[in-house]
Amino acid sequence: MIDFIWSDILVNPMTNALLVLSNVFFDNFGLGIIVFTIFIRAVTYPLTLRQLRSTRALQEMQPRLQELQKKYKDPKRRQEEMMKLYKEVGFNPLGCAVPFLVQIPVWIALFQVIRATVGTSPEAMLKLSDRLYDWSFISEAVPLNSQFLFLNLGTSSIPLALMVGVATFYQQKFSPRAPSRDERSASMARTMLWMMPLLFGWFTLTVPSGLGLYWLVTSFFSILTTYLYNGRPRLYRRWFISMDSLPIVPKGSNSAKVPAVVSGDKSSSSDDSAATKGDSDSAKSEPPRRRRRRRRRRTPAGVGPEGTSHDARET
Amino acid sequence: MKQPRRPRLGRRGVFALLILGLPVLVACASVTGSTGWAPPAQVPGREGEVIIRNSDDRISVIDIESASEEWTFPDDEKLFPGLIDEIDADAFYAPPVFLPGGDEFVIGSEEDGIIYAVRTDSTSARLIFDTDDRLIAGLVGDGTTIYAATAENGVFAIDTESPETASWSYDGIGGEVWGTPGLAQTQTHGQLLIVPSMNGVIYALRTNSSSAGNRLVWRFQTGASVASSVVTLDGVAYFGSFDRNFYAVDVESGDTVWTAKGNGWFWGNPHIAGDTIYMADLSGRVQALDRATGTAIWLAAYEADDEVRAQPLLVDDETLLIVDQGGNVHVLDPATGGLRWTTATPIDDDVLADPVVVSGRVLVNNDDGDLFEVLLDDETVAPLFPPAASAVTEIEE
Repeated sequence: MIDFIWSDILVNPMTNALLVLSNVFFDNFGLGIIVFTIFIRAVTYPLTLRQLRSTRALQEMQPRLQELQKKYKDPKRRQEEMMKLYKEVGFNPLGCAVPFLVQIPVWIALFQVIRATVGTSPEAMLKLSDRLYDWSFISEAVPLNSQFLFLNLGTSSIPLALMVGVATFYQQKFSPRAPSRDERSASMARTMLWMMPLLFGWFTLTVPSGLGLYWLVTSFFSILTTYLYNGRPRLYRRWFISMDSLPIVPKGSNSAKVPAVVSGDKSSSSDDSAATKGDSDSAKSEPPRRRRRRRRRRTPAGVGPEGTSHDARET
Repeated sequence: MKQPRRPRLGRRGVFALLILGLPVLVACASVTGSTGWAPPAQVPGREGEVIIRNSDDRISVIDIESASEEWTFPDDEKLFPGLIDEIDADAFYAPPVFLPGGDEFVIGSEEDGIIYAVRTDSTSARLIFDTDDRLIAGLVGDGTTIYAATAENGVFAIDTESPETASWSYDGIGGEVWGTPGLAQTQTHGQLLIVPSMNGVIYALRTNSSSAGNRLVWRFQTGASVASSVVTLDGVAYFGSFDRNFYAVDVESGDTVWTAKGNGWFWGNPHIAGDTIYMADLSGRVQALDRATGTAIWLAAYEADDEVRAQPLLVDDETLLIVDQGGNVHVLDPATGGLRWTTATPIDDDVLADPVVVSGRVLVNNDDGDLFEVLLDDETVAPLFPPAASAVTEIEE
């Protein structure tokens, strides 16, 4: 059953779709991979969006969560208070994980499809034949043309590995993350920032360029998605070469909207919650440009030139 | 009460995790590589000696009577000192071609495309030609001349007596060449080399033309890639295509004689015996066709359990052997196509190489390079080389 779902519902249709796309796009396998990756990422975009929303909500709650952690030493009590806070602001802890988990099989299948199609050996072709539909235009599409720009998609490429490394670096920098509250977390974040590009760069060097191209497109898509969702951050030249992630100011975020942390068993009033929700909704309904302007107005004086978020300044 | 401090992943921990995870990631991303499927070949004049593809990157001469390895190429340091450093032999897809006299054979590997001539008495090996390309198709021998069709660089004619420079070459092949070309004699054009190509076109090249512009005689277009070898007989070229058609083409004119429909891609070579052609496609369907008309004599009532890339083998009047990719050996009645028996236990690992008969014994080489013998009387398959563990114990005792 699992094999049927995996092969016949996910991998095989995707494999055939990739071949059709390559055929349609001027018998160009490289273009086929790019279009196919963008298409799959676009189809799963609603899930990505949900994930981004949850991440942002978590970011916005960070100051309050920190306060709760300081305030309540008893883990059980702390957990209870955190759950209350989640409920209060309408945050679902699974909101980050579920969309991500749902997308994982699709990404793995996409990866497998490209892996199955980039092989230039006769054995790879034999394996591929097992996945193809009995349609003449699919039979005509093989063998795939492995030349794309300066790349042979069946072999590894050093320039592509460098490009993947750079793209992964900026993907990491653009990724929204909660401001680090201690030196250890910040250090780990900085380590990941240079380790991940090295890892993926080296990884690209060891596999055919077709897979590297997939990683490159995926990185660009992630950067674009984050950019579109979070709005255009103010970028300075030194940020591009620094080892710090860009602290992104969430759209419409404002200290006034974050309900005050209540002490003890008291929770924030329902009016406060309603007001917060109302504010948030009205911000969402505004055109993005006006929202951005409003955000600038609300950002208190003294906010750093690199767009340091209000949350970060609170610390 | 003080809470125990939760262990946290530090910079070193992250680093260690990534380093450990990297091999897993690379292993998951590995693409199917080349292993080769060269079938065993008997050494001329040496009873019981066969050359087999022993692993991805070497071939061995095996004495099938004693199940012992005589020598290997190119990694035998005593016989071929330093050669292993010069050759990047990655996979052998076709059997060696023996030069006149049978004392020397030529072979080329897929990865580096270097063609070597090796003496069967194992005293020496000499470089014949470097194609500087992948060599998947088998070499074609014509006296002392060898024809090599490479993946991208085209076709080369090499005189083995004055090697290292091609007698002629042709770079007008529009796709990679994976199937072994066939030689055919014509009245009008002299000798032709019929080259199948993965762009779906068959090219007929004059072998005796002095001018490059006069080399191509005709082209024959099929509906998809042609990876099977071209078999020529009595002025007709036979080959299968990924368009699920099997073709018979007149070598003189390049016109279609007949076509027969299959159920899947044709990749394996046809077996021609008298007036009958036996062939199998990747769907596992086996057919027997009338060689003159292409009409079906029979269509096997069953399909093999797995894809069939290996060539069908007519062992005798009562035994048509089919080996599928899963290692299942099927024996059919050549007259009717009816299934006689299938081995209860399949050969370990994939089988893509053609089965052969050597000294009256039916041999099959698997993907790992192990050699098996099909015991027709017992309806089983037994490992021949390396010998089974029990056989080794017996010999030691």
